[in-house]
Amino acid sequence: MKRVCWLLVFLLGSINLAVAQEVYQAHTHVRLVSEQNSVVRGGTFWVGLDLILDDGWHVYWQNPGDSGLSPKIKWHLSSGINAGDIHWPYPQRLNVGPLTSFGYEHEVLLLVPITLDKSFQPSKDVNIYASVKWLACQDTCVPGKAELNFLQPIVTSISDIKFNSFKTLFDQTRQDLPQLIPCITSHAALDGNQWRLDIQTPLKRQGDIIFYPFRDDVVEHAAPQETRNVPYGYQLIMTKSHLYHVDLKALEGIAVNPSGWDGKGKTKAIVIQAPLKVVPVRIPFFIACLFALIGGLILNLMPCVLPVLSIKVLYLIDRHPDSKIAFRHSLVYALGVLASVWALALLLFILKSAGQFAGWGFQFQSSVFVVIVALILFFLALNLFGVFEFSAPSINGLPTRQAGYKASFISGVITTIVASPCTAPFMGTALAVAISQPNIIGFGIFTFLGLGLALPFVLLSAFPFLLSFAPRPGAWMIYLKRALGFVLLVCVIWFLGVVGTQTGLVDFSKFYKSSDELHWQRFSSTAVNQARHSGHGVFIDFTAGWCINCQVNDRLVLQNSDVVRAFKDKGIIAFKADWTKYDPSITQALASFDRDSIPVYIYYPPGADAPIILPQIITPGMILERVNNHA
Amino acid sequence: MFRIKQVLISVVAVLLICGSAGAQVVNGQAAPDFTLTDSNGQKHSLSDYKGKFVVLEWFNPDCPFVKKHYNSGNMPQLQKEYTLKGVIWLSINSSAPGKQGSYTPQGFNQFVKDKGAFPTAILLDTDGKVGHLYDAQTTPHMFVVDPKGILIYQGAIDDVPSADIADVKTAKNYVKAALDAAMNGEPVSMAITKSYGCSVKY
Repeated sequence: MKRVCWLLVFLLGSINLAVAQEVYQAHTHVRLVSEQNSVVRGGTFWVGLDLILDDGWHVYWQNPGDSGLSPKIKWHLSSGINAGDIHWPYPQRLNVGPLTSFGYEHEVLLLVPITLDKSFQPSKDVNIYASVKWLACQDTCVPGKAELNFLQPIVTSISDIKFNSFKTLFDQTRQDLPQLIPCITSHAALDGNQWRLDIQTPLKRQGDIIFYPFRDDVVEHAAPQETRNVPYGYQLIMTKSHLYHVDLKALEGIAVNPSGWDGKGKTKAIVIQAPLKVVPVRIPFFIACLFALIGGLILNLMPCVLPVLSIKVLYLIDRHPDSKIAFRHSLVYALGVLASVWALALLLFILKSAGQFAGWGFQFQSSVFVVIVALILFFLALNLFGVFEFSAPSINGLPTRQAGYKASFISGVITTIVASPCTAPFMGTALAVAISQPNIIGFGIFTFLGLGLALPFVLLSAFPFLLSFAPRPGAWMIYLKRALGFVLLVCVIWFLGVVGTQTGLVDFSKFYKSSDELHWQRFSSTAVNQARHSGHGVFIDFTAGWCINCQVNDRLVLQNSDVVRAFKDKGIIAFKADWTKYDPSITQALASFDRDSIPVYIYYPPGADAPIILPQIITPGMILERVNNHA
Repeated sequence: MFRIKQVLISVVAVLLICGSAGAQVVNGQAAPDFTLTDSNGQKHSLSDYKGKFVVLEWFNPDCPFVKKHYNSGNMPQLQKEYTLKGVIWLSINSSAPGKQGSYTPQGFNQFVKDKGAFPTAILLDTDGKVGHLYDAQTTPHMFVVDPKGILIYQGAIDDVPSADIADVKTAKNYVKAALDAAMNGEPVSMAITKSYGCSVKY
């Protein structure tokens, strides 16, 4: 009986070239087909497993989802013929009760590339033969199993190859194969129970993206997926699978966009290989608050903040105001600090909910704002030089009663404003938590930052004896004031430089460029990816003209001759991401490292998947150590 | 006042969201208790079996994957081996009435007889409550609970997802491995896997 069957197959095969043997089983018509009537040695051609399903039945994708099983093909090919992996067209979501599977209804063609060696011996036909297993399900499931084959004649010249009527089906299917598009980049992060998949694309359309993971234990298949439209593309929010227990390096799968990914809207599915963001050390809320408090305290030492604070402290030393009144004023000052920190936080959260990314100090990306701050600092400097005295109630003094409270409040506001282009140690971590958490928690963390910022002055006012170490008021105070005035003037000049860079009028960076400089490349995630794949180490400097720590680090560390030499010796490719002006791609890249404040320094050792994030205050030694130990 | 209310509501909402995140059964935590009636009309609670290992097996006699393990003798053999060692084996059916695999109690008893199966009991979960409680997705879907009532395994029966009887021989059985390890006081190396099979017919 079997022989007769084989004979029939052979006869059919020889009469009608490349016609598949067809089987109807498990509610499925199954056949093995080719789109061409002949092949050449040394060439690759495509073979398709065509599954045509009865109404209401489906077969499964490579990851079947919650239930089901994907079709399997076992090839029985003579030596010299090699079959590749199945190329799966993108599937659809199939919901069965509370479960979701991924698969195909009606018909699907699974494509497999087959290569014929140049030295393939038999001269006539190639026998394409496979054992196929599949599972078809409706509400219920039926497994199918078939032995399929067809004969493919060999010709000697490519020009003799003709395509047959299956070509259309093959071409349609090829359009449904997920494409790898290099200019679409992505990364993923696990935020508690949620996956955040960011897809950056230059061509954005409206549409709900669906992500199909290759692995069956990363995303909860049945959970709804949310597409957020963000300036750089799309952000997908998905639920983490309850089975997730591995440490993935990348979230891999395909993303389907009903309105298409390319200009013509033809490519509906793309391959996603989203590297996982460095999972931030998830610190508890109270630690984040503590970090924010410490960060706020340290902010008082920042070059533009210190003079503002000093003016107020000098007043305490000079005038010995009534301690009760002084304390009350310091509380109003603290209120000013807090109010402006809250205002900033509110603005950040509003921007965040609008899908915009913003980070600490973002307001300095506006030239108008920088000019206003420069003006305020300029007047404060003039005041310190004694050019004029603010009439009481003055900003720098603590005069009596009501009007004076207003001044204290305003000086609190100014302190916050001049502090905001700086990021102190500890702050980066705390702020990252503040931005990523629900807004209530975020506000809590920002509040502690404000408290930290206000605390030194409140303490000095509340406990005057803390100032008893200070020398008696005298001429030194005038010199100190002048010195502080100079510091403020430097701040003013620096801010004006920032405005110059922002508006493109002056390039201040030229002033302080040293001769022995690194060759910095302009940051783009594509360029960074390419550089990383080139086998070189990659360093990224996230900086901005208005960010004072960034500038200090640049000058003292990144232009340090040892560092420059080490970078050159090791062939490290250095990127500068300049955030002086608003740049969504940089904001997005920062977010991928779970940061929203700068400076951030990233080092990818050659060939490494995971970046090393350096602290906000760096030393040449730190950089050299990373570069030498991870070469 | 209105604002305070809003803030309170958001706080409560945040707490609720945090609280509901852990609804699925988690290895290393107490397996949620339930009470179901078996095919002989007797009630069984998971808590009745504290002090013993318990295996929960979601099954549907008409599912090809379940058939694979019963017709090959794999499942009955496992049930026999471990119930003799004192393990409680509860085969749970969560098919809704009218759906595939929804049998009468007599029908289930006949199934046990025909297949030579050895479960401690066949439990009827017709409303699917326990199935949802454990997030049982497929048949088979296996869970192993230790004598303290802690969940130590959840997932597939073995490592070859197929409906083909021939694969039983070469497959590594996860449930067997989990029970053997736990009974020897060793940790379960594969404690969470993706179950395979038909969807549970809720």
